[in-house]
Amino acid sequence: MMAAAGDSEIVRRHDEEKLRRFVRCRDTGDVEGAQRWWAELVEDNIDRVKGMVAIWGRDGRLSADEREEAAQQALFRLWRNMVKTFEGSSMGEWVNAVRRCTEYACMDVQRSAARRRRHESSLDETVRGEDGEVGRHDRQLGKRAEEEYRRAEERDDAAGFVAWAVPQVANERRRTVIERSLDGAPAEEIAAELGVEMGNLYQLRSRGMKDLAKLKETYDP
Amino acid sequence: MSSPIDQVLSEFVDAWNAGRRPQVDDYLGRVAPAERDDLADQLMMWLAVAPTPDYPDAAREEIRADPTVRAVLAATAGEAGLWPELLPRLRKRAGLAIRDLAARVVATFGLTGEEERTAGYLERMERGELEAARVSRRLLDALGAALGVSGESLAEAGDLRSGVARPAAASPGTLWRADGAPSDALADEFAALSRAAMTPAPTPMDELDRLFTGGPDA
Repeated sequence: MMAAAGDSEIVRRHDEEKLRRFVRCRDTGDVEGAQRWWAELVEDNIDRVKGMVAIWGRDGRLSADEREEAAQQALFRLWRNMVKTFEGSSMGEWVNAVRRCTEYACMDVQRSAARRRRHESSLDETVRGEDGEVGRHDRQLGKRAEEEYRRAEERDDAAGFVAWAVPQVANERRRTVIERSLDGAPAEEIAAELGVEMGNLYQLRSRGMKDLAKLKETYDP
Repeated sequence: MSSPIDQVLSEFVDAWNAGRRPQVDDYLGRVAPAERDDLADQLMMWLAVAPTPDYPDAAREEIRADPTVRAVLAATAGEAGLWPELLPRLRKRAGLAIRDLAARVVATFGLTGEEERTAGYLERMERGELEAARVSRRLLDALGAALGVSGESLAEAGDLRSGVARPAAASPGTLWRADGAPSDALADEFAALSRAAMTPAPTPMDELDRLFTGGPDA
């Protein structure tokens, strides 16, 4: 089906409505309602989470089982965050939360796997810190990660990264390609609209994505 | 001139937008190892900004059947949180049978002769039949020691629902004035209370019951 211009905005609003409904149910104590909207958010985002885990765990950094474990952990972290601290209402904030929870879950799983390989069986063992004090190293790391996550979340712009960044892509054709890609338009259709060869379209899309990555560094240092 | 990365990225984006659920590994595998990090960065950027695709019904069914989705939704919906998934895995990793774990609990709390009931309770915990909020922290500490994790970790794993706020209860001092005839619902509640008052008290809990169902402070 051909995507019309502005579809990405419609999709985003639809996603944000699910997010708002989840938050509303959570805040009014409607457990079943919160779980229903959470289930929809999980179904909508499982490919995003697994894709991020696959990127993080590429080239043997995580085994297939460890990737499954990381994806599960990421969603559990996300759930905890959603029910306890999440105050946002935009998909920008939500996707940022997904990305951060996935990163921390991947790091946790990788640490656990490394420990198991060293024949240490505990998930949460007591180890001696640099100062010689015996402490729960992993728990401290986890808490630090959560605090960093919360601080990063507070920095996030509620309007979302996409709305901020796309208009700043300086090259007009790259900007158009990114906008239409976010609308869901396939490559052939965008190439026809711009009157360019497919090879050029691939290049414009790729460079537009790199422009977004650079803007992301500014947005989320 | 476009590079292989440009084309692979573009194909991933089109497959994502069409709801065909592209697998990252398939696409990373199509470029030379030296170029994978570059492609991975661009794919991560796309995943961070991409709208949710309008999945076809078949894809939606696949997603619902995905074991990860099912496990996560079951854990966040259940009273026992992650325990049904986590406890058997930890026990297996520690090389313990249920009866071995029961023996450790019995030894810790001096409950000799209660091995069988303890094993039964542990089986119920692993099946998610015990409410995590009612299990004693002393027991979780003992289980954690046997399984190589902290009791606090176990408590957190069982506690996935507590953040969803319950509606605020009226303060003890609040008085409500009835504006009309009591509703049927109120009458039903009084009837239920009356039945409860007439029902014989249950057998008092012993130490083992308290550990598994007496609440966090038991």
